[in-house]
Amino acid sequence: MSSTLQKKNIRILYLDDEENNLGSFKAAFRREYDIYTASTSEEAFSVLKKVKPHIIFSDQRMPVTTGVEFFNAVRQIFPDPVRILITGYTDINDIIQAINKGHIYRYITKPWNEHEIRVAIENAFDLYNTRRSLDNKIEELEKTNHELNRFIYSASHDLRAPVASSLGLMRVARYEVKDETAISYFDKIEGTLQRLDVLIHNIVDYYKNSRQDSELEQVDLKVSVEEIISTLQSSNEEPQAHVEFTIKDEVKFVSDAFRIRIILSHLISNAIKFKKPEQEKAKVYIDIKTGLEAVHIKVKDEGVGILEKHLKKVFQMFFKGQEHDVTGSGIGLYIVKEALDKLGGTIKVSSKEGSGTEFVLQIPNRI
Amino acid sequence: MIVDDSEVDRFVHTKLLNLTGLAREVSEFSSGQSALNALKENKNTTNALPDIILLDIMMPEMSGFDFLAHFEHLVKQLDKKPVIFMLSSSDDEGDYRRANASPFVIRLLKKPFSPKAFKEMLEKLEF
Repeated sequence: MSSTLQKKNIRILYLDDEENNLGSFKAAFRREYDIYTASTSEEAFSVLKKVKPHIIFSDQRMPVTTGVEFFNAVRQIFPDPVRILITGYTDINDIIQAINKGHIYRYITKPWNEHEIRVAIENAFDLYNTRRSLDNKIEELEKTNHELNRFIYSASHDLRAPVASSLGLMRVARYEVKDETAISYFDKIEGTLQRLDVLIHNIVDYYKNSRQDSELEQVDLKVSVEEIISTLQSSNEEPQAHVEFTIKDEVKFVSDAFRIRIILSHLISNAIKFKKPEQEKAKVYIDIKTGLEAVHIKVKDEGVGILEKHLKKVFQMFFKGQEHDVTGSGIGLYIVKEALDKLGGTIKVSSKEGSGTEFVLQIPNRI
Repeated sequence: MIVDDSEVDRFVHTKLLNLTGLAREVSEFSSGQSALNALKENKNTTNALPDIILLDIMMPEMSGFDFLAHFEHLVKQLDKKPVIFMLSSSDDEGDYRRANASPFVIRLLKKPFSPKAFKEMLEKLEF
């Protein structure tokens, strides 16, 4: 039967101190597999270096090192080959331990028969291939992940750079051009650019949020909020909002600083953006209390508010409550919700059209 | 001293600084290397050294952070120690952290450059 089998490219190393055993092993399987033999572990290592076998068989009882000891040494340098021990019943306790520690894949008791070895080889080779393809998949994933990271980084720089340059030019133009018609065009161009700017920002935030693992660290909410407010206020020449910020943070707060920033900046930026047309400046109230279990955050504005029928939909992707939404991309609150989900936090929104919106958040303290 | 590879951005920053009277004199450099050379040449001429450097991050060959590494060695030889504001279109957290970690950088400012916010920061620094 064996002579009719097609030879597969399975490379097998067999280590045994008894030459007779090596000989009979080779005689039995050389027509089906590539068989390499060694009678000492030194010899076995030099074969390992040269031919990179898929499977290694080793006898347990040998004069210098035992099979388990040999496999333990092999594993450190050549982790890929699947290791199978050939042994008598008397060594069973050592063998069980070796299997449990992951040093060997399985054992075959002496005297072995051809069928048993053949089954062991086929199974071991399947395992070898499965591991290999898993390794390849991991490598591919790492590459994709790396490319995504680079994309995000270049999106945050290169994509935004021309927008920022144009906004800068608009700023210069406003100093030098006094013509009313021209200025009315500036307003429209600037509005459009800002909308693009917000969209780029949101896309980057969205990808970062869906990708990154949480990194826990102590978060200074006072500093974070103040920074967010100052960044938002300085993106226009005149501050756009009157912000009242109160905080009680005696308990230190541990969470993911990046996601906290995403959540707060979107909520605060919305609160500023959706002021009523008759309001000269937006009015925003931020209140934060840290506790051992969770931090409680309230962001409230006196802006246009949200229609009751829209309240349930505000956290959906690309939902826009207003037809004439000037700068919205419809993903801001969706990102907030996604980031909160990753942190195990909750958010509630209440609003009355025409008198403002209030978001109440609870985010677990991972202290 | 403005270090930025983007011609438009150099123009915008110089214009805004001049229009608002924030700077007495503005010098422009399109690469980190040319800016370093100018600092070296004028290392003992206090008047020719800048008080403030506006430093872009994403530049070919020498990035803003590369510039900082060279600047760290150079600064000891300078008769006047300029302070640095980094300017970038970046939204990247990592950039903010790196900028904050540098002892020479006052702050990373997001483009477009805001003369008003810049002025307030300078007032805080008592320039």
